[in-house]
Amino acid sequence: MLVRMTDRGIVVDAASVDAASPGRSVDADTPPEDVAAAGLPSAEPLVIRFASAGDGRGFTLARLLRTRWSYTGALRASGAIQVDQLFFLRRCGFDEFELPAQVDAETVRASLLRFQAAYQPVVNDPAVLRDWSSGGPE
Amino acid sequence: MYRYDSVDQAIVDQRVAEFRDQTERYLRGELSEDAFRPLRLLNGLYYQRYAPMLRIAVPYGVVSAGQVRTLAHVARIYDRGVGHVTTRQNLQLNHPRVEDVPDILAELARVEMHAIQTSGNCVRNVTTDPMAGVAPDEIADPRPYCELIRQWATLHPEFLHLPRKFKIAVSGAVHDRATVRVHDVGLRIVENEVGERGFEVWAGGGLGRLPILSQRVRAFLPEAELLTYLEALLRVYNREGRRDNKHKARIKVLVKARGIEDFREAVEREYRQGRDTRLRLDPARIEAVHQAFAPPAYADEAVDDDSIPLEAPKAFSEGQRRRWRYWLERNVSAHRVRGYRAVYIALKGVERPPGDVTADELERVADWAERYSFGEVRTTYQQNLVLPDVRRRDLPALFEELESAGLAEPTIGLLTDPICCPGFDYCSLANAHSIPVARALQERFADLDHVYDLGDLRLNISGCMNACGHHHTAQIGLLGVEKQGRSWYQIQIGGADGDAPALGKVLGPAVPAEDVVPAVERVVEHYLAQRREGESFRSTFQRIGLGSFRDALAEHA
Repeated sequence: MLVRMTDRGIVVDAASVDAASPGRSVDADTPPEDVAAAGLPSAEPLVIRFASAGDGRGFTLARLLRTRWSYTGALRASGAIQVDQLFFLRRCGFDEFELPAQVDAETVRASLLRFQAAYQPVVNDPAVLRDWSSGGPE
Repeated sequence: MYRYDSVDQAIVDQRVAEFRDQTERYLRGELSEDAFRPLRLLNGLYYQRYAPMLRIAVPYGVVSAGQVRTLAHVARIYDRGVGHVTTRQNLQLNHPRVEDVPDILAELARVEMHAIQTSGNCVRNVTTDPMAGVAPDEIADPRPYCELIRQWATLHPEFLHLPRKFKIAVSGAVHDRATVRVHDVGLRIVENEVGERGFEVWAGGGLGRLPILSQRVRAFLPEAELLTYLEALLRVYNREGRRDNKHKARIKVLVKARGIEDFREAVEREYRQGRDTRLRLDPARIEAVHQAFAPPAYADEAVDDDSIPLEAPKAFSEGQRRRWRYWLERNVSAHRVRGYRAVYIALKGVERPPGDVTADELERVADWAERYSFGEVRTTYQQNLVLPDVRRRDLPALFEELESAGLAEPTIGLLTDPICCPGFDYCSLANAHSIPVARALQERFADLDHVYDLGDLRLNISGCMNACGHHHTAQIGLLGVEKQGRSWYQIQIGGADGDAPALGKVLGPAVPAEDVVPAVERVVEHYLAQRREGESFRSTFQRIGLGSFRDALAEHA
């Protein structure tokens, strides 16, 4: 299953991922400097493969590619990611997610939309965000 | 104290909904044990030896009377009526049912509490000095900075899957009562030469299998840069901390392997190039959070109280008068406001596993907090409670109530005030019992005159090398080890926490459980024999050395 964040909202494509553009693929533990040095794709998605769901390096990698290297193309999370991580993956800059076919589409939507507020300015911030740099109301 | 705004409340409420959904999917069989495990851990839910355990966050150890009543309620309704204060100032329930946890979290959310990130490989509850805001030696109140860190760390999307857990402590006083040197990151509030406020930043401390004191990363970090700097430091750790071996995954291993200079350079480089200016703290934001911790309405006339002698209640027997005098000496602490004192409630004693407090007791504590302490309670690293703002003239009345409730053990900082992990009675990791050892020591050292004569003497007990009982930083530390299926204990001496922290040294071969109390007695007797007038255990140890204690123990072997 491929889940994509698009201008029209969340698109869940039940078709196998092989049918979608495979894109360029890197492991979650690759230093962002190395990923950037090899050239960031312009049309195909950049796929970050997680060997384990607990590998936080992929989250930092995504955030840095979005912010420090200004990558604007599609950023796909694949591998051992869990549906309950989608909101946080998205926050770090991922906008495509490869999930096992049996995952329920409603669970996917619920996870992506789980929080309407957040404390940290990161990449994809929800509408309600803590403002640290002023003393005014939120 | 800090009250939630709409952002705080929305996040906690949505977190409860998320965990309810996850728990239901798990109970329906849609989530495997392995898939549910990291999700429950991020909400403080462990599976222990006999039952689940839920660790409820008490951010920086500050809790209101109303919140204490809710803790009493959930302990009574969803557990067996007992809570347990931890060394990181949290409160654990040792037998909740998994299916009840979403309801428990919902009840907590109604009083602005949660269990977010009380376990798992993420930033844990930020801890601080239990005297925060009332200590006479305070440079600035650490609680507002703890709260800012709490918010920043809560559900931080980049840092929910660190190599290992991450513990931050903040001290705002001249004297360190937050043990900043044994934390992954320790912050000490300082002022620079022009009077600006900031932080001294320490990193890479911790106990466990590799006990090590932290090293200084930065002498002065402007307060506005608190979160931008922490973000850079956490990012270096997230990228470079080891993930191949969980016993080598804490930041202390990274700092040690790279060396402090190299680690510092990596953090500073990341800080310079990666700073998100949206995280820089505006002075008005800092001030707003300080306002949330504004002092209570102390009575102006209390300033005259200090000159009036304190009388023991007239009905007291001679024994009670003696306990009252000891209680004043050990459990009553100086306060920055004249006419006020901070009062410790010791959760220790022969009949009480260290740190345990019943639901009934929690309700009484809430009542006392409202009547005597502006409705606020603190939890402490040493697994006790504090009423931070008690008027001095109320001390006799409060003592009588504490005494009648069995909560006036006058033993703060003495040998009978041990930090003690749950050990084999609860924990899946433990090699040895720790609570029964604490009890045996309480029985042996029940004579108050004797423990008072010993003076400040921290004795801590850990049931395994993970060192949750902080045995390394006690003057006498007991470490449970397993030998042929039985509990043995290694004795370490000479450790210390606070301003001049030190790690204890192993006294000799481990002893079986029945020999622990006699061995501690011999250590204590040797101290008494060797000490000079007014000399503490620690000073005596530093003067005569480990060898002298070893020889003394060997003579009796």
